[in-house]
Amino acid sequence: MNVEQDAAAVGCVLAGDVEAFARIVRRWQEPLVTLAYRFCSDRDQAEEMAQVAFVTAFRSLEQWRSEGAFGSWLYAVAANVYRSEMRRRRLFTLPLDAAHEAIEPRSAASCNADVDRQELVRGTVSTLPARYRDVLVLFYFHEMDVRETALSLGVAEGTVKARLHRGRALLRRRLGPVLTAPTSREDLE
Amino acid sequence: MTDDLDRILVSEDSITPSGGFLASVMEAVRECRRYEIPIPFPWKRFTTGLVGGLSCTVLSMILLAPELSPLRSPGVRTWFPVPQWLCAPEFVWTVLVLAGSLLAVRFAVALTSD
Repeated sequence: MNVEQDAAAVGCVLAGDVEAFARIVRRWQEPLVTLAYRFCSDRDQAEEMAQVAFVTAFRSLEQWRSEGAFGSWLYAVAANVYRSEMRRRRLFTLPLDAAHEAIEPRSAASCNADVDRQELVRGTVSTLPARYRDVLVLFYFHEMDVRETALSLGVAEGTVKARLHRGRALLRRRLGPVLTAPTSREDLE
Repeated sequence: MTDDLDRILVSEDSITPSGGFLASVMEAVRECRRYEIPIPFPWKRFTTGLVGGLSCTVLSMILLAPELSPLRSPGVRTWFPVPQWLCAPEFVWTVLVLAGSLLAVRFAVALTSD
């Protein structure tokens, strides 16, 4: 499905054909669930959040201006939903030990060779303050496109760059030796 | 070091939704649409209630304070000639009794019908 087909499907939904929304869901379900997963790192929760994002998009479909890319608009809606959901869920479900972990960065010493570095990096991203975490998640999701990240967050590109810089600095400080340490046998050899 | 970070974060896999995801979203969307259909304003009941309420007010004024009755005010009388007998308390009582009887009959019929 391309941009025109997106617009056609939206037109059908706005004309009253609810079932046409399935075409939109089919096309965008994987990126939206993936983006949600990058926020929450939990598969089931990611699907729940993506469902909320789709329903929110359905309810506000009239607000999409057809001159803009539908995908950008949908990502902006989804990012907004995910950020609110993360705030809400963090408020109600964060256990005490996790909260402690979020405040205290993991030490490099606690990372043994079995720890997956990617998991650790992702986990550390989720412990960053929301404004840095959101920018980092969206920036890497959009394959390091600052403009798309700014569109999804509804902020200026300069703001994205500044938060990105601070977020990465914070991440590097927290991960420190983990990033430079060799992890695989090839690295060691 | 930054390159390493970029490589790790960019290389994350995409997540394939479970089989029932599409159906689940569509069910939620249909549910959402069902609740969004606006309930039409009950104009018929509203008009009946309004007419009934105004009639009761006018009748009450005629019975309780005839001098304040709008039907007796000169402004109304010049605009809309009201017959004298319409403002008489006897007539009002007759109308009220008839209306009461009608309501009682309708209530009885409503109770006995299925």
